[in-house]
Amino acid sequence: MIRNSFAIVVALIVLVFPLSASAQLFTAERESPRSHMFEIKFGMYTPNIDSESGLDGKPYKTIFGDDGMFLTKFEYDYQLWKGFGSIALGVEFGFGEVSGNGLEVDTNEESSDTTVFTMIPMSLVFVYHFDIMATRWDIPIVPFFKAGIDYNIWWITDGVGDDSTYEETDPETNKTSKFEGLGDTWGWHVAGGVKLLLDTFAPRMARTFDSDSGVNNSYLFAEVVHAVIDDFGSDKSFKLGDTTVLFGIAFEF
Amino acid sequence: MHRFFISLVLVIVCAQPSLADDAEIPGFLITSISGINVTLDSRFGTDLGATEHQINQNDCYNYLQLTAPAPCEVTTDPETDGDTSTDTNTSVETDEDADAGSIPDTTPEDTTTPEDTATPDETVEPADSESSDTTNSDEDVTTDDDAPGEKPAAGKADTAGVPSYIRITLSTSAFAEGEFGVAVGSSCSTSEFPTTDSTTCVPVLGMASKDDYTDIEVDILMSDLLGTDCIVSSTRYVYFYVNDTAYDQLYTTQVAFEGDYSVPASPVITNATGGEKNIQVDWSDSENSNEADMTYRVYYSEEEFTSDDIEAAQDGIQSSSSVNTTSYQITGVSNNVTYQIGVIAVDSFGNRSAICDVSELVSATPVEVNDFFEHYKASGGQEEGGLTGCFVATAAWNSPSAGAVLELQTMRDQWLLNNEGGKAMVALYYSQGPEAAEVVANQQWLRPIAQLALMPSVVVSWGLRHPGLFFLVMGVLLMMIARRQFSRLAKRGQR
Repeated sequence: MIRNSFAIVVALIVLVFPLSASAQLFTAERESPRSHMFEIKFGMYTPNIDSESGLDGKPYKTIFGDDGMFLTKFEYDYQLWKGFGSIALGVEFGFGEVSGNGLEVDTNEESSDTTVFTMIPMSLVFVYHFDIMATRWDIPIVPFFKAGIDYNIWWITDGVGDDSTYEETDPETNKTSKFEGLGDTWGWHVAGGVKLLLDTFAPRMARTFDSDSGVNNSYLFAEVVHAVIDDFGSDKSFKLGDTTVLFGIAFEF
Repeated sequence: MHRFFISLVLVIVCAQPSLADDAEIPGFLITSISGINVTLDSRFGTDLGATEHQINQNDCYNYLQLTAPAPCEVTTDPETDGDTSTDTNTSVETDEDADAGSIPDTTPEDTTTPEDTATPDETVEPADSESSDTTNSDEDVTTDDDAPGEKPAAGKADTAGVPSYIRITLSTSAFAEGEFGVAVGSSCSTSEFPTTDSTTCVPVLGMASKDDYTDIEVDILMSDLLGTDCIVSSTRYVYFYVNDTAYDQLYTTQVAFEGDYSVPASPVITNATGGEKNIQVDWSDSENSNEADMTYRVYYSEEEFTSDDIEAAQDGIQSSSSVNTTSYQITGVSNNVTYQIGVIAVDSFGNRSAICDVSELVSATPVEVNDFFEHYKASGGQEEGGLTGCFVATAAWNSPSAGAVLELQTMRDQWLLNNEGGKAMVALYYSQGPEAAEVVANQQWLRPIAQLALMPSVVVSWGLRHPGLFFLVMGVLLMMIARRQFSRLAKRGQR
């Protein structure tokens, strides 16, 4: 696996290095100032709900199968410092949804009722871009690292689209408690990835894009995310974390 | 050269009658129904501008004052209804004794009104035949002012004393001199006023000049307009003719009454599955695929039913709203109760298919279903739901009187507690918040993070209370950012 990854990275460098030479022609020209980054990214995300200790079975897998939710995220970063790379503080918003069929209580068979689990992840994120290779050596690869605090709002709907509810009676006190399938969960995440500077492949277009709209650089990127969303280890919370890969496009301006 | 063309245009224009000078030029021009004010009988609604009116089978029975057959009763033989005439022409031919409102002759003197004549089968005596104005002068081609409900029934009728005609009221202030007439039929000549009855056209109001052209009322037999049965679909028109005597020019316009008496085929239910307090119903409707704008209604009841029961508004039968898809989810039903379900198709005219036999019904039983959250909880999951938020703020700022906490309390009191959704959120918060607050209070390092996370809510709350100032500050900030960006771009451009 590591060997394969190394081969991919080498191949990428070999591929883009000649292109970087042509990009060099334009680096002499001054770019407009840049201090913002906007990202749109997508990926499949499967919350680790079934990893909760004490669960009888795997409720997420039972209802939704192996399907993850298709997660769409938007991120905005403001670059606080630029030197050996750049440090930025950003906010992230996303939306993910997965649906499955409920289970008939008597038979435990799949019902025609559709149940939907929706999640809106939000993050406050610290970002470091190691863009030295691109700015100094014209190698259009920008590794980056992120770490953030996460706040996820989620809700679950039943077969008629209402928020799910669950009633439970304590056999000792005979007290009935009602729980609603709507809540929020805090957590944290770290992420790392590589951005590919697209300007290298179309330098003239990139220059025009900059002069017309102030967008300095455009990137395609892949980001490996490891999220731990469980109210910082609370026993009474969903385990909404996952380790996944997101792909996206970013604009620096 | 251009002077020649200007002169030519002026000559042409001046040679034409000036339609703008209505007071000077006798007669007037109708180019559309909007050229003359037409008021239809209230049974056709109040859309005066409509030139097309759709009539379904039930409307037809209603207009003809016939008892509609039961939904599943076969209605193929018009004669079985005891009808004495089967179409417009027949009705006109029996004018002397039956066809009130029709005029066999086009002269104004022969113009009659519904109250002038007896009904076709003489089953209904004119309510005011003796006192009504039956003269045929130009001024009297209109009927009297009696309400339609006080008129005798005309054409085929099975209810005494109820009229079966439509009153069309016309008026114009533009008409000064000329002749005016009305005819009814499936196809009337538009080049000349029809002087005699034909199978396709019947003159109703003969061409005649009038002294007063306001509120001319023309009563037209429903049997002339719709035929005498409600089985064979057809389109009939009311034609209006104006002969501009000054220029010997005939103008016509018409209003269409499109009758569709064909009943759609019944949809076939392909699936009815019970969920939790709901039933998912799917159906196919290939037999009505050639019909446009088909809609459906789903009926359900704990007891078996047919369309007769629906018409009778039998207790316990419930229906969906009108849907234009071939699936529907019935909600609000009880678990473990078996429901009978039927679907009715409704075409664009409002004709409805019928459930003639209980064998067309499908049964389904809602059952208890665990959705994901219920299944998770039933599996021993500990998540309890609920949103966190002011306990956390108090813990984050380590003081209940911190400015940010007070701001959030203001938002709670002024905004959230003023609507049901907000109240629910606050209630949920008070049941769940303390636990989260405890976590923040016990973890010092979490406080600045919680403060940072809550700051957007604080800003929003402040902005809601000071919208003017909020937008001013935001505007200034945006302008500063924009100015900075533009100046940088400009500087770069200069270089």
